[in-house]
Amino acid sequence: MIQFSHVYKTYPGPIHALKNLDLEIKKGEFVFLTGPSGAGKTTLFRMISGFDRPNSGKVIVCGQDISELSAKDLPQFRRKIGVVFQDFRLLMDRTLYENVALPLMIRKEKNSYIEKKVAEALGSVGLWFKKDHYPAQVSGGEQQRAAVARALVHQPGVLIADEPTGNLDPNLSEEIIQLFERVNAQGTTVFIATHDIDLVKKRTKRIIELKSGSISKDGYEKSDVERSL
Amino acid sequence: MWKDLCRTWKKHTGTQLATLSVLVAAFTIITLLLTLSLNTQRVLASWGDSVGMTVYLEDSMSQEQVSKLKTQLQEMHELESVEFFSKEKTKKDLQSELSQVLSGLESENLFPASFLLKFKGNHSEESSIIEQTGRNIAAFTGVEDVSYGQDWVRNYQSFIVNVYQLGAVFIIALLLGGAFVIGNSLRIAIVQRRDEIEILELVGATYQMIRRPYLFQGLFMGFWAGAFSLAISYAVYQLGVQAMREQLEFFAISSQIKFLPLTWMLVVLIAAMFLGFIGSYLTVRSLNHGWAASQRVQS
Repeated sequence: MIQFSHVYKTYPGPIHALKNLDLEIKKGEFVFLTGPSGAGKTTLFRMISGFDRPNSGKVIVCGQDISELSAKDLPQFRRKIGVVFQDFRLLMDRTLYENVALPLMIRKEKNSYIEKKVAEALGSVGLWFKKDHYPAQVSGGEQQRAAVARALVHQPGVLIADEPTGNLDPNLSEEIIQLFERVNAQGTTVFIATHDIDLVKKRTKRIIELKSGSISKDGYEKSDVERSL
Repeated sequence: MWKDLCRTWKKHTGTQLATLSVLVAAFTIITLLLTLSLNTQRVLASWGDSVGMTVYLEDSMSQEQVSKLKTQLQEMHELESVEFFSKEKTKKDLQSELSQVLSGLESENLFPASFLLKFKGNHSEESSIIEQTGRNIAAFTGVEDVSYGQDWVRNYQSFIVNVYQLGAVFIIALLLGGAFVIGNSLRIAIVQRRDEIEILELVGATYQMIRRPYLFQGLFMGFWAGAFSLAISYAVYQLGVQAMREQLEFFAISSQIKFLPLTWMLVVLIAAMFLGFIGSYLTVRSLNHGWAASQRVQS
């Protein structure tokens, strides 16, 4: 589903954000990406979401080589993935319903279809009753749940989340991760970048650790609960 | 798109109003300049139509020579009419007009015979043809002098050229300024809505989808700038005509001054809309290129 082969990315400076990165995530996997600030997590996510290109190497997402995407192909590619950001990225002058409906409106889906899918998406994150609220009228956790609903409403094959719990308290963070787990259980590949080691340690999941643009660790780790047994 | 437009106006009322005001001012100046230019052209052309030429004849010319000269003049294609004034007729006409001044000159006839020539309409606007024809006629036998207000013809021609050139430079400068103002106003709106553009890019909106509301906004702004400027210019024109009627009644100029014809009004409106569209297009193109989000933060 996601494949990085000998990927290098250097920004002016020069800052070597990614160095000879090799990585493969299979369909239906749930993967955490960890590492200190500046390790290259955001760069990696930008490439997956088609917001950046490698200087060399190949990045293949949902069968598409990012380096070969033309400007015209970009929108079509982005419709195949779902992205969640730390700062939610909701349109503040539109209701939660309008925000979640955005990916479907862009595809020019019928209104009846949009209504059905948005109801499902907002319902799955427990926000249908707040569909007419504006982002500023709901809590940070609810905003992030709305962002997740928007990322899922068009049923993408891959959901990537860059520090989705960065602005949330521990309880809300747990709630969001559980939401991602539910999504993953339905077959969506989930790839989450996070600093929150406590959240990661609670689960037995594949963890990729980045350090200075290279993978320093990649494998499954038992959760604290499993370890204590 | 209307929803987007309303949202922008609601959110950035101050910026939008300031932009509209500047554009209305620019297009009002353009419209007034066009009105002035068209009217100057019309008034001067009507004066130009009356450009005539007087050919004074030598006293010694016989009747036969005068007839021959008249035939020569009538054969010149630049001329519309050739009218002969004998010495006697000239004296008689002047005596009836200026009887008191010429009362002492009744016994003598010092006035020469002459031909009064009128140019065809299309030649009356070209000083070079008038001057060349004057030189040709002066070379004819029996012609003592040719008078056609040479200085007036030259000044008229250069004045017309200067008015057009100055007007064109001024209008181009104002149009460029207008495009710049629209572009800048939209740049502010777009920078303020950068998040929105990024989010739209993120969820897979095509360029057309993202740009369309901004282009519509530019067209809308241009339309109202054009419409308001025409309305204001018409009001200024009415005030100007009224003032001329009161101050310059003797010259009867006010009856010749007209506002822009409908075609020109449409040109102003379409130009304003086009300017709005181009200003918006250039601005939004520089910000919406599919990679906007990647240029903000890089780690």
